[in-house]
Parts: sequence; C-alpha cells; structure tokens
Amino acid sequence: MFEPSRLNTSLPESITSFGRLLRAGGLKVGTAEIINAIEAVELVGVAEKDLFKWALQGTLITKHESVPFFDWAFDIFWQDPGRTGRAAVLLKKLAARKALTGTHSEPTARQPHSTARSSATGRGKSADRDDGSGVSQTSAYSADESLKQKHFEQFTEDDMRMAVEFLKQAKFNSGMRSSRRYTPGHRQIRLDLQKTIRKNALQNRDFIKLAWKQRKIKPRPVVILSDISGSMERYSRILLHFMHTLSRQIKTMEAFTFGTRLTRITHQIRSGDIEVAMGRISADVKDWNGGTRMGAALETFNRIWARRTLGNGAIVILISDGWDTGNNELLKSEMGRLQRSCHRLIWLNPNIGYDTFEPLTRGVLTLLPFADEFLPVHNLQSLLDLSRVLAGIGSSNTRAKGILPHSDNFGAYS
Amino acid sequence: MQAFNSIDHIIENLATYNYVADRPLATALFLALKMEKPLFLEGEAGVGKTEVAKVVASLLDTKLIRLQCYEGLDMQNALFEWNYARQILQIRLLEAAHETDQDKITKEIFGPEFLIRRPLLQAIDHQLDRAPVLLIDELDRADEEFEAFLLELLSDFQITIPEIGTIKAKYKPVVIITSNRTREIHDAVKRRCFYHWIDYPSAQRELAIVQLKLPSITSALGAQVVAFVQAAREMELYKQPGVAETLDWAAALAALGAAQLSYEAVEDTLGALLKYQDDLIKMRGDLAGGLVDRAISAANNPGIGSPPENV
Ligand SMILES: Nc1ncnc2c1ncn2[C@@H]1O[C@H](COP(=O)(O)OP(=O)(O)OP(=O)(O)O)[C@@H](O)[C@H]1O
Ligand SMILES: [Mg+2]
Repeated sequence: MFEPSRLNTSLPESITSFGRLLRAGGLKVGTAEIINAIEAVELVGVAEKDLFKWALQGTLITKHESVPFFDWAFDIFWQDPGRTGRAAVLLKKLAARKALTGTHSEPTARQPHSTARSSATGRGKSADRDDGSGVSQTSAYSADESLKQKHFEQFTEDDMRMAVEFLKQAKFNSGMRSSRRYTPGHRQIRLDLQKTIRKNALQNRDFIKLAWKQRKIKPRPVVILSDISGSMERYSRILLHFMHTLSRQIKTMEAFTFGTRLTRITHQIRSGDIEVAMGRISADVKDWNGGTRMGAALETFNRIWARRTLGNGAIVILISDGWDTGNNELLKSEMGRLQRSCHRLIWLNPNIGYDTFEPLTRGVLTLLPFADEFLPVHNLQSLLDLSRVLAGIGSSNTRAKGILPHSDNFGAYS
Repeated sequence: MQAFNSIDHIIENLATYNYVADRPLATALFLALKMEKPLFLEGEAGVGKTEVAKVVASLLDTKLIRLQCYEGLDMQNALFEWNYARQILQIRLLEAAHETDQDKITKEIFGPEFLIRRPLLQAIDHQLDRAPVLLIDELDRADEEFEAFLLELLSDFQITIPEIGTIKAKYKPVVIITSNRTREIHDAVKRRCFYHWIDYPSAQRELAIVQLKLPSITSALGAQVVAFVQAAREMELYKQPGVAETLDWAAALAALGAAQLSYEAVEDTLGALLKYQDDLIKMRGDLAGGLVDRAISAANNPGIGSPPENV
C-alpha cells in the first residue's frame, strides 16, 4: 500500500503544494488544474501509488515532454519530502535566473569597486565578508562590458585572447572556513579559559582580565570536476583557462576532468605557463569530446579522491551541462555521496545561459536536488558572479543555512 | 456506464472488443468519464488512438460521431450549414403559392429542417437516450482558429444559431480528442481535458494485440514479427512503424504462407511495415546485418528487452 509521506497535512492541501512545486519548475498549473487533480485523486484513492500518480499526471500536465520532470517532482514531493523545500528553491532560483538572462546586468559588473561585496548571493550581510575574503575585480582591468556578456559559444579567436587576459587578472577567492585552531581575538564570543587563568593567576588583582579567542580563519579548499565530453566541447578551452587562473590564486585547488573516465589534472594545471598546462592536459586526458558517464566518474572520485581532497570544508564545483548517458541510479547515489562529503556543492551549467533552458533532461533532474547552488557558466560575467558566490561562502560550518529553507517553509515559496 | 465502474473492469471490457489497454490508459478513461472531461489522447501514428473511441462507443452501446480534422476545416463542415439548394427550392415553391410576406418566408426557410447537421451539431442536438461518443480525430491537422471555437464548445456544449435559438445537449457527449502532434495543440484546450500519452506498446502487449486481431497467425510468427518491429523502433527511422503497420505486416507474411520469419519473406513484405524509401534502404542494410536472426532469437527469449509492464 502506498502511503504518501505527508499524512500530517490534508490531501487537498498537499496536492495544492505539489502544484506549486510543478509551477516552480515551469509547468502552467492553475487553480482549475488543482481542483481537477483533487477530484481525480478522490476518484481513484491513494491506496495504489500508480493510480494516484496517473490521476495527478493526467490532470496536471498537458505535454508528454513534461513527464520526466513530473516523475522527478512526484518522487521528491510524495516520497522524500525532506528535499522538497530545496527542490522548490532551486527551481525558483532557476526561473529567476532565466528571467534575468538576456537582460543580465548586475550593478556590480559596472562598478567593481564599490559594490563587489554587495548582496548578490543573498547573503551579503554575512560577517565573513569583512575579513578580506571578498573579490576584487581590479580596476586595472576593465573588460569591455560586451565581452563580459558575450556567450562563450560566440567567441572568436580574438575574444578568446582577450578573455584569457581578463582571466589572468581577475581575482578569485574561495571563501574562508574556521579551522579547529584558535587564535587570539577581540570579539567576545568564546572565552579562552586557559589563557584567562594564566593571565590572572599570578597577579593579585581583584578583577579578572578576560582573554578571548576565536577560530583561526583559513581559505577553503576547492575541487573542480569538469565535464569535457562532446556536449561541453565549446566551453572546455575557456573553462580550462578559468581553472588555471583559479589554481594560481587558490593554493588548495584540485582539478579533475571527466567524460567517460576521471582524470586528475591538478599538477598539469598548476604548471606556471598556461600554454604548457594546456599542452599537458590535452595529452593526458584521453576522453575528450566523447560520451558522458558521470555516475562512474563520480564513483571513482568518491572512492579514490574524496577523502584526500574534501577535508577541511571543501567547496566542490561541478561543471557540466547534465547530459549523461550512463547509469542514472549510480549517478544519483554518487552525487548524493559527493554532496554529503563537501561543504558546498556548486553546479555550473552553461545551458542556463539559454533562455529556452528547461530542467527536463534526466541528468539535470537527477543532479538538481543535490546542488547547493546552480549557476550559469556561459560568459565571463557568470565567472565573476561565481567569484562573488565563492567569496560569500562563510566560515560557518553548517551547510548553506541561509538559502535553503526547511521543507516546512515550502508554502512560502510560491 | 456499468462497464466503466472500475479500472479493471475497463481493461476486461475493452479486451472483449479486441482492444488491449494498459492500466494507465484504462485509468485515464475511467477518470475522464467520471469527471465528465474530454480525454485528450496524444501519441505517434498508429498506436491505437482512434480505435479507443470506436471501442468505447461500442462498449457504451452508443453512437460514435466522428469529426475528422483537416487543414481548412471550418464551421460549415464541423458544425452546421444551411442547405441553400433546398432553401431556394422552398422560396420558389412559396412564390408559386403567391406567398409575399417576407418575414414569413424567411422564418420558414431558416427552420431546423433546412440545417445540414455536421458532426459537432449532431453531438449536441441528438435525440438519443444516452450520451453519444464524439471523436475529434487528429485535431493537430485543423487550424488554430478552430481550437478557439472548440474551446467554447467544450465548456458548455451548447450553441446558438441566431435564426433558431440556443441548442443544448440533452446528454453531454463523451469526448475523445486525438492528436499526432504534427503541431502543439494550444494549452487552453488541453487543460480542459484529461491528458494521456499513448506510447508504443511493450512487446508483451503488442503480441497480445496481434493474437487478438489476427487469431489465425501462428504464435511463433506473431512473436517474431513483434520482436522484429520492436527492434525496428529502436532504429533511427524517418517514420517508426505503429501497431497498424505491425498488423498489416503480419497479415502480409501470413498471406505468403510464412510460418516463421525468414530473410526472403521479410524482403518481400517490407513495404507493409515501412512507408518511406529512406527507411526501406536503411532497413535493408540492417537485414544484411542479421536483424532477422536477432529478432528470432529475441522471440525465443521473451523477457529480454521487454521490460515488465502494468497490464
Ligand atoms: N491496444 C490495441 N489493441 C487492439 N488494437 C490496436 C491497439 N492499438 C492499435 N491497434 C490497432 O492498430 C491499428 C491502428 O490504430 P488507430 O488507427 O487507432 O491508431 P491511431 O493512433 O489513431 O493512428 P493514426 O494517428 O494513424 O490515426 C488499428 O487497426 C487498431 O485496431
Ligand atoms: Mg487515428
């Protein structure tokens, strides 16, 4: 017997919320459809999962293409409600981003000095922004605004050269984490008892001088997993340049490529000269522009590299369009493992740069619920935006609290 | 509506009329009937969309009214038309009888008996003792303006003819709309309906269809035909064969006296399965590559390549 795991709320209420989730994903679900869905469910009951599902499906979708998305949303909403809030927020963000593309002009891009630390990530007020971890897009360089907005796909050789120069000078920073170690501090948060006693023990005073301590702040390690399969071909070159830049500024960066297999390119990409780095990478990576078996690649990463590279609150940046031809179940479980073992999982997808993007492919739907951030990577501006997101990742050890509401809050998101 | 009281009933009853329905389709039918909504069936050509409407009409023991859509379909052909020839004749008769009252003449020639009732009007203005089935077939072929009109009709099942007045259906027809998706039907229409996509049948269900429709075919040949067609649907063909083609092809093979698939028999009858020259050329390449043998061995190992299904 099928028991929808939402027995605390009434069925009509749940169906209404489910409709909202679908709407967040771009389906046109209005009140009339919700009413139909409720009526249909009343007619077939909830005892049999399939009937329940088909009743909702027939009343809430109007296109065969929506079925994969519907299936995904159904599984999450009715069987894994803990993820619903996250899914809804991601879909919302995605929709907002879609609305932005084309008219993408953030004030920060125009006025690099004053507003680089603004609240572009929605967490602008975080105290960590004040510890110097911000991005500085130096005024020495000011790439032509149109180049920043230009889609990588339309890059000419000239654009490419200019973009590489631009990247050489851009500054990226991975955000800070607090380490286990403490360092003397001024903010009165944590009392250093040992020191307080030492300081005061020998002195014969009638007041005690309190000693404060704070956790030592360290940059977070960054691990990049970059899809270099056929569908990503147009982006591979510029993204390798980006990784090269990043590797020089973030000392703890690790880099991997994958298509049909996983290759570690950390050493190659660290060679001082970009041309040398590119040469070594193209020689060592064997699966350029082929198919994508992301599940298997992530499995290899999780098994061999995760423990070595993901300690210390690492940020994982997954660069992929989500086109996957491998085992979907494997992809799901490995992506879940990956997310659980890092501090923040950021998914960069070049396709979000297209107005027509809809999260409908199987791979995208599988990956989406595990991404803490879902960002475009289709022009230089999107790389600058990423740097702001990175810098905004605070030292708190809890995951992304500010952006991911509890599933109970779900209703508030539509 | 006895026959439609439960989903399992529907499956059984459709089978008695030689239609092999899977559970999703039976559920869609059940709900569309109970909710009194049109059933919108979408799917590739030849997967049994039209046949559903025919069988449902037989099952409900009622009349099937069919509107076949095509480009340029207009109100005169979908709804009603005045019978001009008869009207003119009537005017002549009245004149001969020295009738000169214009109002009286007008009133007379625009009476119900001068209407030519096209399918949509038939579905509303019927004298039946129960709801008829209205099949609006291949709506994607009609022009978009037609959808706007249809939308109105579907919402209240009444029409107003200025000279006659408003006509309302005594029993709202059971409506089934089909589309082959040569273009997208407007969302507004689909939202009024219960939506269902009919996929190609699984091997298991396709075999059941062949056995039901062509009982004289040996079970070995039936299974091999189905295995072959299922494999053909995996090829990148310009037009994939539907169930209609499976049945035609099986019948053609049987007519040749084939008890088993063979390279020669397939060669001779391929035209019944594939309709495009490019597809035929492509298929001949695969035949040389041993597709017939693979189909025969797949038919001997049922279960391989045919995922379990909700039947
Ligand atoms: N599930 C089924 N059970 C029995 N017969 C079926 C089934 N599906 C298809 N058929 C048979 O296949 C043939 C084609 O079906 P039908 O004409 O209904 O297809 P269609 O989807 O309307 O195709 P088109 O788009 O070309 O009009 C018919 O002879 C029908 O009897
Ligand atoms: Mg048809």
